[in-house]
Amino acid sequence: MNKQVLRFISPDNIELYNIKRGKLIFKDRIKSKDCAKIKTDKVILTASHYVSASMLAESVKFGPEKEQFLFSDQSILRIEDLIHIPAIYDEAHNTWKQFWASRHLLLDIKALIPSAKYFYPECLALTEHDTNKDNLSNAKFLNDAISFQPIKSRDKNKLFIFILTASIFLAIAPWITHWFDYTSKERLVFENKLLLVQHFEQLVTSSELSGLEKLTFNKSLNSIEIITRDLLNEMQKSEVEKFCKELSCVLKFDNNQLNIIFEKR
Amino acid sequence: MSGSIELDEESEFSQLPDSQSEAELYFSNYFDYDASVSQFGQRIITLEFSALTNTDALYLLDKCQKLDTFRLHSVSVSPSSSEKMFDIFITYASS
Repeated sequence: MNKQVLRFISPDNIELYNIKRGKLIFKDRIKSKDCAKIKTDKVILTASHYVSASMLAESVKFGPEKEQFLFSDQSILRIEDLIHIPAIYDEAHNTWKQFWASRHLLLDIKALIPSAKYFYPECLALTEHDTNKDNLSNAKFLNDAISFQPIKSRDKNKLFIFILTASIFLAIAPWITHWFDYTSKERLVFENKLLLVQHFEQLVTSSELSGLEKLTFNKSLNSIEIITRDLLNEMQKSEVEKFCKELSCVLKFDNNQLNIIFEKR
Repeated sequence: MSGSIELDEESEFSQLPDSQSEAELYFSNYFDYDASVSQFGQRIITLEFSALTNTDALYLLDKCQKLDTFRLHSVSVSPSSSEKMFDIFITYASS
């Protein structure tokens, strides 16, 4: 499976390469209907399938976390559709660079190439790339380059709780900022709404909740109430506790209900 | 949903509409959606919006926070009986 790689240009224009001694050898140009029989887990994405941006390291006064997305002000993607690679520090230019893409788009490509797991931005995965040639033969393929790894939720309810939580936290974010007396640490957390959401994404994607009954944001009480159909297991509880510890809020479990209570101003 | 509503002595918020039908008309106009009043009191009112798409739910969540006439008490979201749809409950208080 690892000896081949596909380069996705469009559904009707996909290049198949063999990898020999780390270099690409052009083999064929195929269409999406022929992809199912190609057994490779690697797909190179051409530039139109992802976005990248850089910012000066000096403008980021902290080391970005792996899950942190730095360019929320530049992305037009809805949060539930966003997939990104951890920010990469470019020592030569003293910048942080990050790549992101549409999760739906990648999952659509994955549907055409069922064995695909790793989606490499072309400019990250290839070196010695001759742009004048019709194909990428002889370009060096960096097998260990960072890639997108979109995962389709097998649990609709899981997706549901994530989308809701993400959506509502985006909606509710203006309140949250007012619930706290800022410290520098809190500023980092709360001024980046996507980071806040991604905390929940981690929480949710590692949970096997059978379903969300109700999610309530109570502004009067400064609390969030989550009711699920099933009890939370220990791992889920631990994740929620971790989340709350970072937010410095009080957590109360009661069977299939949990309350996150924020400090009052 | 549990919890009491804290009332201020002096409030910049208006009184809620006098009748349920008046409230439904007022909030339907504001949200551009048919608002159904599921709880109606002198100081508290709960609106229910059913079977919303994700986009519509987001729109309402955004819009409900921008109404400065009444104090937003709470917002609840739950799965609708229709697949991939949401029900939203918005509670406002008069003070």
